[in-house]
Amino acid sequence: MENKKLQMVHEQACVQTSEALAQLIGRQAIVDIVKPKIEKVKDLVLSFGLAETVTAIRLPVSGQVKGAALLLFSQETAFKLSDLLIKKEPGTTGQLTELDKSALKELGNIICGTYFATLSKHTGLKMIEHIAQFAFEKLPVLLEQTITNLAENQENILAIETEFDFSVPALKGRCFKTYFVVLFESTQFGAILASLEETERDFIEEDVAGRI
Amino acid sequence: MAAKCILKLYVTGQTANSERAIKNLKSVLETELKGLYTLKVIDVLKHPQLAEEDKILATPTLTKVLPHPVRKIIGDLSDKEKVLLGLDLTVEKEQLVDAKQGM
Repeated sequence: MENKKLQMVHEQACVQTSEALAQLIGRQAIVDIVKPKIEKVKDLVLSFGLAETVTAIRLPVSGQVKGAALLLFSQETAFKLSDLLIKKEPGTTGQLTELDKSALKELGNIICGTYFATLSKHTGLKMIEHIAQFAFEKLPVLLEQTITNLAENQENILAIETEFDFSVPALKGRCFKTYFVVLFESTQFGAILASLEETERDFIEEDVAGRI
Repeated sequence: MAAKCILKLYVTGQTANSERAIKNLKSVLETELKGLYTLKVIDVLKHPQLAEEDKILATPTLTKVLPHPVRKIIGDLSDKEKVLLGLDLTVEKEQLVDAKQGM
């Protein structure tokens, strides 16, 4: 399923994240905008094998809606990102230290947090971010752990699925490939989409009134 | 006034995402500005310095360099109206046609 308004929010979130990333790494960052898809959790098409252990940063939110965002990447990408974030020579990291994990959590916090902030701004729904968590798990286990807190039945969970790739021109365009998944219980997802419709209508009415 | 609209499209690599943006844009340009534009596609992974100079934050980004003012539009360019309005091309099309006929 595709949604035009969600696409607009996604584009804005990507631009905001690019600016936040640039501040974090002290260099220009370019985010590649990949169209988000709305899927059932069982239909997620992430390019990881089910048996593969993935690195993940999980950011739960509560408030008017309850959900969670997952930033997922391979171990190899985790090492590359650590080099970037801790300002080490490319190829230095071979094992994640506590400092590396902390830096990756900060990265996840920025990407997931910016996304929720943009979504909250456009829906008017309050979303309170919790502390980002680091995980190194097999994908099904990770999803199971995450959705258990959101709904009793996995069938009732919907996901916004997209890639979140970014490059750094100062590093000769080096590209970092990650996956981004936002999970909400389906009725709450409906409330988010309805609020997006509502805020856009308000904006159009305001615009027309302004011209009169 | 320049007789052509000069556009730059920044993409990241040769991905399906990049290909979609190029295809969408060419479709709009061939319909609306046939013979009146020059398009340069720039891969930020191959030419990072150009992306740095133009302060690109996200890809795909379409930049209208000429006629002035410079305008930028971000996204996969699938919405034709958004592309034309975002770049002011609806107004400039007539001016470009006039300028080309006057040459």
